[in-house]
Amino acid sequence: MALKTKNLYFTYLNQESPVLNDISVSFEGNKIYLLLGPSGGGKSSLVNILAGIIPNNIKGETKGNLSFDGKSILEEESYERANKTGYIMQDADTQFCTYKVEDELVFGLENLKFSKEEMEKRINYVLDILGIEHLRYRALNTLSGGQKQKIAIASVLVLDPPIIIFDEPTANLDPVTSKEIFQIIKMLKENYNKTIIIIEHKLDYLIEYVDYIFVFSSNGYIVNEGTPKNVFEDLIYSESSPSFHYPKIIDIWKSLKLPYNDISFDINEAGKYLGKRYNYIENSTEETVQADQNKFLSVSNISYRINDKQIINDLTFGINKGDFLAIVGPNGAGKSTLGGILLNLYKDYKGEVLIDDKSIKSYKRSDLWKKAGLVFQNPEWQFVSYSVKEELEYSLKDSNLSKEEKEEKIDQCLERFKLLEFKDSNPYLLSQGQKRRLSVATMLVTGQDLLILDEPTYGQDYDNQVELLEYMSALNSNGMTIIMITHDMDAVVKYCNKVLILKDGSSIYFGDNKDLFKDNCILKEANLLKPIYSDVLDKMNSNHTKIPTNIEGFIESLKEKE
Amino acid sequence: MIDNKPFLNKLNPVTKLILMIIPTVIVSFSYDLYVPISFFLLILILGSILGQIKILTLLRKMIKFILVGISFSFFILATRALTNDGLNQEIIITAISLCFRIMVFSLTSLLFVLTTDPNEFALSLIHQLKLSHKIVYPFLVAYRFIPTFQDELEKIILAKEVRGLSSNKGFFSNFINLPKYILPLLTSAVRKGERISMSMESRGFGLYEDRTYYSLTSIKGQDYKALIIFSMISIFILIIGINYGLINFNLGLVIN
Repeated sequence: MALKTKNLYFTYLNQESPVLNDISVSFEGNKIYLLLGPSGGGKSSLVNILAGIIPNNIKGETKGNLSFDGKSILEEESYERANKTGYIMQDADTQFCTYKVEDELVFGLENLKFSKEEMEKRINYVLDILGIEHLRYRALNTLSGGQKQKIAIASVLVLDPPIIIFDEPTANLDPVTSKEIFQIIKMLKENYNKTIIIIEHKLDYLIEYVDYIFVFSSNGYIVNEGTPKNVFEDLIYSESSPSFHYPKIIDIWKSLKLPYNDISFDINEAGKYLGKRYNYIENSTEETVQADQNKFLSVSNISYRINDKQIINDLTFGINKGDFLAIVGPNGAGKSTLGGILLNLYKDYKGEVLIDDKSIKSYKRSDLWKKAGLVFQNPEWQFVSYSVKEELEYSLKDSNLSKEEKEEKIDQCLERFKLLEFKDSNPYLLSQGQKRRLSVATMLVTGQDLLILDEPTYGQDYDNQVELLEYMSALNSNGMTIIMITHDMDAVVKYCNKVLILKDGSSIYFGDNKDLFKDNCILKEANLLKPIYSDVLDKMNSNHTKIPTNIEGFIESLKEKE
Repeated sequence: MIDNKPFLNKLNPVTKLILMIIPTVIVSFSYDLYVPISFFLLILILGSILGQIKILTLLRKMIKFILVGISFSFFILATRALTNDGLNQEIIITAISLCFRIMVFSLTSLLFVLTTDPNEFALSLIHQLKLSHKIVYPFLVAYRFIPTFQDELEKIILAKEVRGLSSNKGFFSNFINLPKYILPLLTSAVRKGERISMSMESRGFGLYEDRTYYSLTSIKGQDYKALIIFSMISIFILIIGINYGLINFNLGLVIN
């Protein structure tokens, strides 16, 4: 059974240039196909066409052909394809249409008019292969993010489509759960003969299962295709970094100038290979421990509850001026609430928060918010006007600057955030990356010392993520104290110097990010994974007590064997 | 699975709908104290026992509606007191009666929501009231998102507050600023709506005119029993009221 496109073009309604250009691809057999490329490059549009959403629900102009088993199906509505292609999106919560697991699983089966006996059989079968029988009678809103995504997969799997499409299935999941989902995807391919088409950014633990990759350019052409080994070969020799995510094992190969032919995307194999060639010599110089200076932000024994639920539980920590703190932990651990408490948004907490040795409760709220800014998860939540310029004017409304000075400051700020050309645009009509930059800009224009960011990279494509983080890092080097709530451990390792891990409102780790990966128990408890190079290091069979903080440190400590 | 759900939860949602309509209709026409108060107490006690919910919990959950009822009555009394009509016993009784009327409406709705699984309600609308699943399911889905939007609105209010846009600067400024709160909520609703319909369609929703059902809802013996007994109690209350001259029914508008 093969799903094929031939010379496929697609242009969205009211747009000039096509988002897909001359796409001829074929998906068949028990293989995993990965779609890579910058956002806006047409990956999502292609899977929407494969699933029948385009051109039937989302309108536009299509040229070319889409066939299933030789039969053209381009005009077929998405509900007519339910038994051909299954479609699983990133946010499981917005895919459910019922309240209980069992109801959700039978939803598709009822639509396709299966008998009750057949439904029973299929539900049992699918629950069994995913190992989630115990969830059958649960209410959907009591499930964790990972469990929800498994139910979303199950609700498609009961219809037994030969082809299953995943659009960033792990975007909202922590690293350990993401890995579990990848295992399921691999199992579907190997044991149940499914053809998998997947768009995904977290490649480190997926790439070893991938059979074939299509690389999209930003203008919607397929510019490269082949096995992972073939596709990534170009990267290793090119000087510039690609505009999409790639497995970090490539960076190791690239820095060590190892023969590309020997590369393995299987961590085990890669570790063994490196172990044969290199010794890992630990850097013995002890880091000088910085004495506790005057804490810029100090939190002591805060607890906070909403109704009967303990959200924050006796939390104590402190950071210095110029620190870049990451707050990580599972969903619902209280991270966002903590961010709000630090800015005095919730009043009835116990304990004390000091900024510059002064309790935040003794600040006038507007004064506090001149010192510290909070950027919410969704930039749209914070927009207060209908043009980009007005957004910044609003931030400056209480300042003593003259009108000209304000104008100048706004222009400077817009230029810094590459938004000057959108000065008069409506903030809601900006792109995701621009919206995020604007929301950060509105928080910084009044010269804050502390910036709190709630999942700033959420929903951003690779380019925007890197750009934003680099910018934060630059601000941090200039002395700004930053607190970032995130799931992205790579960013934590690369940019932050302190880490706070929250679980059920309590701190299970607070300290230097250099020591974080020493303790496997903590990582496990917080559903986090070590960075990939430390996994590789484990497989090299070396005796090490410390894990390098970054990939450069790892490379430096490798000494070639005689 | 052992079925140890409270009696009210086991009733067919359509039965509960009818049980809601009976007191609603009776109370709507009465302008005395006897009918709304006795129905309020009756439903409060029956609901608490048969739904296994503490009376205090019920009262706490309807506190907002109680306040609305009280302020509504005060509003009527105040306008009467300030105009030439003045206050008399009749108008005071009517005002209290109206207050209890609102409380009966909110109590029955509250009991319905607390004891009804939305999915089962949808199924009973399809099976018992023969509504099309193509109409019922979209409503079911929309209902699912109410708590999500409440949660989102709370966050939006905080997010604006950090920007310096306060939500407690009085009614007028809130009114002017309302679109700033609604707009992000609306964009999120459109996006979520798009996704959920994609997800439903890709699982075959709309393929056939009809569909099969894994679980069916039906009207059982207990439903008839509940309907008969409740109707009898209602009639009993009315007969007592008529005998003792406690009832003042009026089919027209009262405050004239």
